[in-house]
Amino acid sequence: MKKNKALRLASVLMMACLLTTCVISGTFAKYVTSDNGSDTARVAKWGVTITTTGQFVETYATDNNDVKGTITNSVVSVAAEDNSVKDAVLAPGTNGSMLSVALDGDPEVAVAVTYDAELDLENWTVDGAYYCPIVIKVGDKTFDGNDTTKYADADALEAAVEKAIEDCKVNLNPKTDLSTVATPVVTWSWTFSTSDANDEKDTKLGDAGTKASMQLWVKTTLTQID
Amino acid sequence: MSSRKSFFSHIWTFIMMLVCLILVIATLGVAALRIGNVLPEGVDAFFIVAKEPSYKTQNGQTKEEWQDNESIPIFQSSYVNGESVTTVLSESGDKIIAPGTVMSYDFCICNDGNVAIAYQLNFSFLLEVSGIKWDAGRFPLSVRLQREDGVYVMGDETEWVEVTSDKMANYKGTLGVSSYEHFVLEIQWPFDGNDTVDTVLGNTSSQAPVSLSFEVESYAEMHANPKAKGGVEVIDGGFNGEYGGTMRTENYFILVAALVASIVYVVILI
Repeated sequence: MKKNKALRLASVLMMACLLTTCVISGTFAKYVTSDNGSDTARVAKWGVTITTTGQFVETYATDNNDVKGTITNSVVSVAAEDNSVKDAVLAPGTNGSMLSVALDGDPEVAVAVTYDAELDLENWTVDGAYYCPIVIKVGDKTFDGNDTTKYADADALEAAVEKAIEDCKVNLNPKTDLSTVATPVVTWSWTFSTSDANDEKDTKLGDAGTKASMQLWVKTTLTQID
Repeated sequence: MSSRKSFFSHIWTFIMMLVCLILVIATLGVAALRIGNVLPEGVDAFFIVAKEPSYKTQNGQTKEEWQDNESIPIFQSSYVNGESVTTVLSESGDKIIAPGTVMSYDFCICNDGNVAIAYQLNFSFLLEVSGIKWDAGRFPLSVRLQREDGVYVMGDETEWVEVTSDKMANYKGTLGVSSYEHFVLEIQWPFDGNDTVDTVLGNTSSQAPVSLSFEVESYAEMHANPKAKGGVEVIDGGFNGEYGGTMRTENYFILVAALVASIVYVVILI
């Protein structure tokens, strides 16, 4: 009988212990509250396009009023025997556009427009001496290959033209309408006749086994300004 | 033999009474704690003051307390570089983000309760294109978090922590009673990051809305040790005083001892 009472009491104590343990567990890890803050932004627009036009061509229309209508083209490139593709050519009396860059877009970031130019004038020599009758214009700047006081050789002319193109770089504010931004326009011309001596040199250029050539490479880059 | 049995009987009775006494004391102590938690803060009842865990998050600059879904001014509609030149400008005045932009936000976690709290800060990013979720881990963002004492708890002076998932690694801390912790959160879109990704995002944004949402969430619970220290303690800073129903460690040990004793007792009886 005593044992039963003790067992009952022990059971009560056990229950009390368990109950109080539950109560204690409730006092730990009590959730308090939470706060949250947020913000949203849109990615700034870029959406810039670059369109480059201008190149040498295979034929040039005559601009001589006396013969216009009967002789449509004054210069026509002939395809090589093993190649049906005609080369672009230039000759005395021809002119054209080498480069015209058009930008478009209205980015929401400041933009740096830069140009990396490389002009190659190959084999512009007559009797071993530099002779380049090409006049190149970059915007309103003129680079006359005939002016040997400024350009002693092809390298000097190349460097001057490349610098003029690369100097067209510009930094633009955010939201600038790029279509309104001035870009370099490069044109060239080979005067038909400047003097008898030059006519003779032009002829030698045309007769040369390795023909003189001109190539312009311009890379236009638009970079965000930090 | 009978007196010997009677002696042991008295011993067992004594032990039983002792255990009962201990349990009663412990139960009363626990009851005091429970009452302390339930009582309104500062109300005395049998020398018990309510335990009132509480904290608030504030704007570090204005000291204004955050409301529900607080709009935090971390992004801007324009950004100026180190040469005072505006390099990013929203066309419509809405908030934007671009490569090279660095944003910061000051906020403060304040323990205005009367027990220590354990808190946690979570940072999450959501990148959406035309309302469709993108993998924010591909977004070239990085963050760092600095405390008022100058210690970086995320990143350091030169290193930023890249955002590699929607949910950033969180920060856990402890705030003692009448204490606060001031944080400066910085988010940047590195200028010299991945130009290809940056350009794709910028071009995409010119055709469809590309938005980045940032959320900082703080939550806290009462610390296991209500007397724990942490944060910058405010001396007479207007915070609430201590509560009176402290859960003392010795109380807990007594309870455990009582539990063990009663188990032993039962085992012996059986």
